[in-house]
Amino acid sequence: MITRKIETVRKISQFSRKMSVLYMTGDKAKDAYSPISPYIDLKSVFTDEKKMAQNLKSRNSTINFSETMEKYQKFNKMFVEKQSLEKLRDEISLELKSLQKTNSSDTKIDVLKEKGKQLRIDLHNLKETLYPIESDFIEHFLELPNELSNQCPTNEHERVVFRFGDKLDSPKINHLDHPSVNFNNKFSYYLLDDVAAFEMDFSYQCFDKFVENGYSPVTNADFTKRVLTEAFGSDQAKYENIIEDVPQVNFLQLTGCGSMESFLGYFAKLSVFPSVFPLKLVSMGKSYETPKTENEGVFSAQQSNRVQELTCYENSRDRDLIMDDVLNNVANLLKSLGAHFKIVYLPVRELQQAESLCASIQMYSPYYEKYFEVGRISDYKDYISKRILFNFKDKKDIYFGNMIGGTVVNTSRLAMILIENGKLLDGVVKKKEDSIKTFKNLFL
Amino acid sequence: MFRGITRHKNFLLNRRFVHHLLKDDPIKHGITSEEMDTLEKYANLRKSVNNIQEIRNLLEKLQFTKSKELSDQLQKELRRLPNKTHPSVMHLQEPKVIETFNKFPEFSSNPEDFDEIAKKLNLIRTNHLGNFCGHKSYYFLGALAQLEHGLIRYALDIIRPKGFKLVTVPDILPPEVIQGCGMQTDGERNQVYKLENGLCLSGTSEMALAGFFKDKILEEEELPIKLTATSRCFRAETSGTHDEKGIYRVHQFTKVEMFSICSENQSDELLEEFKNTEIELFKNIGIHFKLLDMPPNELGAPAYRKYDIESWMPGRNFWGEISSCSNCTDYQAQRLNIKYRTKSGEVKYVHSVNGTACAVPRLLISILETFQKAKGSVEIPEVLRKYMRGQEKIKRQKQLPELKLVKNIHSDLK
Repeated sequence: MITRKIETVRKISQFSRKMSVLYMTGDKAKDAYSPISPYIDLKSVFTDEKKMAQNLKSRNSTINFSETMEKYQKFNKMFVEKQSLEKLRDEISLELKSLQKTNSSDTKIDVLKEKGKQLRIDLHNLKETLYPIESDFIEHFLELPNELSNQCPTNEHERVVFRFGDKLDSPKINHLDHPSVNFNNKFSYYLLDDVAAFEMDFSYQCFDKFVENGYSPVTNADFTKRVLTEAFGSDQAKYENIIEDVPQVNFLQLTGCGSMESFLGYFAKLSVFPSVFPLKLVSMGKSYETPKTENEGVFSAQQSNRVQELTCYENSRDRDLIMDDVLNNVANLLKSLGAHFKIVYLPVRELQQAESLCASIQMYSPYYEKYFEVGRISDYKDYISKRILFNFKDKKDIYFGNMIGGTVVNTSRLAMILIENGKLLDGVVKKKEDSIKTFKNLFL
Repeated sequence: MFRGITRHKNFLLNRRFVHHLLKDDPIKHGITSEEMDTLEKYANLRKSVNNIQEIRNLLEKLQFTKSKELSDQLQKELRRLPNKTHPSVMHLQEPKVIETFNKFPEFSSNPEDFDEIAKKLNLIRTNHLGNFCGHKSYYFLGALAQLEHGLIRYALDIIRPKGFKLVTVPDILPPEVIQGCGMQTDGERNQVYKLENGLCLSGTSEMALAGFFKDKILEEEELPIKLTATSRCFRAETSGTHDEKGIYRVHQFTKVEMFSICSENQSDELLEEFKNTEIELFKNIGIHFKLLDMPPNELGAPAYRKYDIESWMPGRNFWGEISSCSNCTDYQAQRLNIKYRTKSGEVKYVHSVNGTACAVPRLLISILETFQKAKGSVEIPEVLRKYMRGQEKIKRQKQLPELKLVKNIHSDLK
C-alpha cells in the first residue's frame, strides 16, 4: 500500500515539474494534495480584454492572448453547462425529498429517481471532460501578468526617479582581483576580512534603519514550496530544488530567507483585520537565486546577502506614498556611501510577471561598463495575495492585501560595486597573486 | 592472516598511520591482524559506525584480486574511521561536568516553555507552515527576530577583538568538502540536504571554512589562523521527542562559528581559548550553564577532544546543548589535504579547531525560559539591550496580526 503510494507520488512528481502545483482540478487532487486554491479573478482580465492584450504586448510577452480567450470560451461554455446540470440535480433532489415526505406515488418517485441517476452520470461524464479543459485554461490564466501601474514607463526607456553622484569611467578594477574576494564558481565564493565585515555591518545598518522607521523585523524560512514560488510567478529554474526522501508534487525549493518568496509562507491563507495596515516587515538573510548571467564573478553568483522589505497595505491611494517612503529610506542609506547610484522605474518590458511597477536601484561598474541592480522594490498590488489568499474583511466583503516589497539592498553586490569604484579598502586593490600568498597577506 | 610489515607499536596514536592508509594502497603496505584488532577496539570507543569488519573483509578480498572498485571502497571505509582520542578522556563513560556557571533560575510558579512564551507574546509562527515552507519551518516575529540579530552581533563583538577574522562563506558545498569534514552525505537517515544539481547544503560554516583551505600549504609563521563566520545551517535531522519539540531541533538556523587552522603544537591551547570564549559569551548573558568534557562515545568521528556547553532550560526542565568546541587535530586536514611547512621545511598536516559562538534557536530557548517574568513578559539580558534599541523587556507584540487562517475563498468562475 505504502509502496504504491510512493510510486504514485514519484510518477506525479516527474510530471509535476511541468504541471501547475498552484491550481489542481478534482481529478489530480485524488493523487496529490493542493494546499491552496488561488482566487481566480476572471473579471479582472475579461471585463477589459483589450487592456490585458495591450499589457502583454508592452511586456513583449510570448503569451498568445487569443489562445487564452479561446480556452476561456471553451471552458466557460462547459462550466455553465455543468452548473445548469448541478442546479437541475439539486432541484430533483429537493423535489424527491418533498415527495417522500408527502407519501406521493411510487411511480412518480421512481421516475424522478431514474432522472436523478441519469443526471449524476451525465454530470460525472461532463466533469471528466471538463477537468483537462479547466486545468488547461486556468494554467494559462495563471500565467497572465499583473495589471500595469500607471507610473510604469510604457515606452522602451526607464524613468529616473532619483540619481546621486556621477558615474565613474575609471578605475578599471575587477572585484575578482581584490585580495578579499575569493571566487571559485557561481555556487562558491568567500569574502574575507574587511569586505565581509562591510557586507555584514552595512546589512545591519539598513536593517536598523528600517526598524527605526517602524518596520517589524522578521526571520523567514529558507525553503519555499513550489506552490508559493509559482504563486509569485517565479520560473521553476529560478531556485534549486531540494531532493526529498519521498518526492512531492509540491516540492521544496531553496529560496533563502533573504528572498521575497520567503515572506509568502507567513501570508498564505492569512486573514487579518484592516487595522493592521500598513503592515511593514523587514528581514535580512541569504538569497539563493540562480543567476541569469554568467562570468561576472560575484554579480553572477547564486548566493547573496540581502535586506528585504515587505509592506502590505489596504488602499490603492496609499501606494505612491509607501513606494516613496521605501525608496527614500534606501536612497538615504546609499547616499552615506558616497558612490554614484540611480533609482529608476523599469520600462514595462523588463517587468516580471507579478510586478505592476518596479523601482530598480542600480550602481555602475566602470570595469564591466554597465549598471548592476543592487536593489529592487516592486508594487505587486493584490496579484500575489489573490493567489495565496492573503485577505482581510471589511464589513462583510473579502478583499486581498496589496503588497510593495523586494530587495532594499543586495549587500554582496554592493560591496563588489564599491570595490570597483575604488571605494572599499580606501581604494587599495592589489592584483591577485597566487592564492596562498594572497591569503598570507590577509591573515598575518 | 595478513602479511604485515613492522610498524610503530603505538600506531593507533600515530596519525601518520591513518594518513598512510588514506594516501597509499594499504595492501601494498599490509595491515596486521593485531593492528586491525586495535583499530576495532579503538573504533568501539565511539558511537560512530563500526566499519572494521567491512575493512577486514575488503582487505581479505584485495589479497586475491586487484580491483579498483574494491580499493576505492576500502579508501572510503578508511576515511570513515574515527580520530584518535585525547588521553585524558579515554577512560570516560559519561560526560564529565567541569564547572557550572551563573545561578540556577528560581520561579515562584511553574515556568513556561519557549513555545508557550513565544506564542503568547506573538513572537513566533510555527503552525500550518509545512505545506508552504517545509517540515519544522518557522518565522521569528518582531522582538524575537531582533533578539536573534542581537545575539549574532553580540557574539561577533566579543570574538572579533580576539583576533577572529570575519568570512562570508558559501552555504552550498560540493559533497567531498562535507565528507572531508567527517560528515557522510549518502545513506539513509542522512543529515545532509542534497540539491538536484548534485551539490549539498552546508550543515555548519565549519565545513565551508575548512573547505576554503583545501589543497593549500601554509607557512608555520601564519598559524594559527582564526576565523569566524555567520551562516545559515541546514540539517535534515528530525526529532519526535517531547524535549526537542518546537525550535529545539530545526532544519535551518543561523549560527556564528569560530574556526581555526593551526599547527600540531597549538591545537590543545586553542581549544582552551575557544572554550573560554564560549564561557565568556554565555556567562555575560546570565543563563545557567555547565561545561562538560565529553567521553569518547560522544565525540563523533572527527573530534579528538570536545567540550559541550549545556544550558538549563527551566520551561523544559532539562539541560539542552547550546554550544560545543572540538579539537579535530589533523583529521579534517588529512581528508581535505591541508598542510603547513614548518620552519625547518618539513611539510605536515595542519590541525583544526572549531567552536559554536552562537547557535540561535537554542540560545533563544534558554534566554526566554530563563528570563520570563510572571506578568507575561521577558526581561532582555543587559548585554543584549544595546542591540535591541535599548529595550529592557519583550512584551506582547501587537504590531503583527494574530494567526487566523481561511480554508478557502470561493472563486466565481463564470
